[in-house]
Amino acid sequence: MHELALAQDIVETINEKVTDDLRKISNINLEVGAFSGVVPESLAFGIETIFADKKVPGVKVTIVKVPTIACCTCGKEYELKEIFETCPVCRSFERKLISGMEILIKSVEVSEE
Amino acid sequence: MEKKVNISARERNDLIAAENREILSNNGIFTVNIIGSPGCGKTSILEYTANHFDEKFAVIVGDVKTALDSDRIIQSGHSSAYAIETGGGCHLSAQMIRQKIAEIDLKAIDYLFIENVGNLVCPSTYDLGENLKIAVLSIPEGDEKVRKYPALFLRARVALINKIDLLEYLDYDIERVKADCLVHNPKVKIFETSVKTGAGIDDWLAYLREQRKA
Repeated sequence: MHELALAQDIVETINEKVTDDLRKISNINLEVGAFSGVVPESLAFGIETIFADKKVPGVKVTIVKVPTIACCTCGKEYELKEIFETCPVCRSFERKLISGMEILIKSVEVSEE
Repeated sequence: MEKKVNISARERNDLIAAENREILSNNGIFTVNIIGSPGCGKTSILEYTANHFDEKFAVIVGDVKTALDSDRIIQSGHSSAYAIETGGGCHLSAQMIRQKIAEIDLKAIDYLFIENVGNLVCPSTYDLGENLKIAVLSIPEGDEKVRKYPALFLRARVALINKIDLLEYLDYDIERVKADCLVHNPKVKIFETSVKTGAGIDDWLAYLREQRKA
């Protein structure tokens, strides 16, 4: 249950890099990789709870789930849904993951005033 | 209006972790982040190491509550140890390590072992500034741990299969566990260890020495 710790880091990052007035935030858009090790719904709940706790209700967190893409040593790129899937071309497990581990703060909706 | 951010949610932790890595490396320290279930033998391995590793090192131990484990290391008389009580937190963060290394005489050590909170989930994705992330498994836990906790085994460069002396008493398919580790990370280095018999520990400590030189 490290989602709340990550949620706190996300709110602090937005506070530091986007706006020092969190009341201006209406939407937060995240990208969460399938192999990132976090539960997207818990992360969204954590962020919304932190905002509510700061008396900023109604902030919406939208999470786009990013598939895990593996690059096999044979050069084939494929979506890895389960760890035990092998390369569809050469049946090897030898691969690098090129996406799916990330938790990215993509963008934030901020009111102009 | 929509403001682009494009910053990793892990950046706050990772920036501090990078600084930790620099501070430790500048002092010639090789740092190991040890992750495993409660009771898999993390502290016992460190106790055994304290008694048999002819190198200068310190240990940081994270637990939700108490300094029992760091006291065990201190009692060995061969290593200093520092407790971090998370008070409920399920993992150590780079910031916690930053505060703790300020207490350590970094000139006096060549290795730093960080025993993470006993947990196979949350600690696996937090960079602390280590050079080596290792997973500790043990025979009594059962042979499905690798399959059940992929986040750790995708990221760990070393797996210790500990309490190997119990293999003859329990149904544990060690070949399957090793194969599972290799599916998660084809480059993983696996050691079979026991602090009861000392099996495998010398190889593990020799590997550490090699890694520090590399």
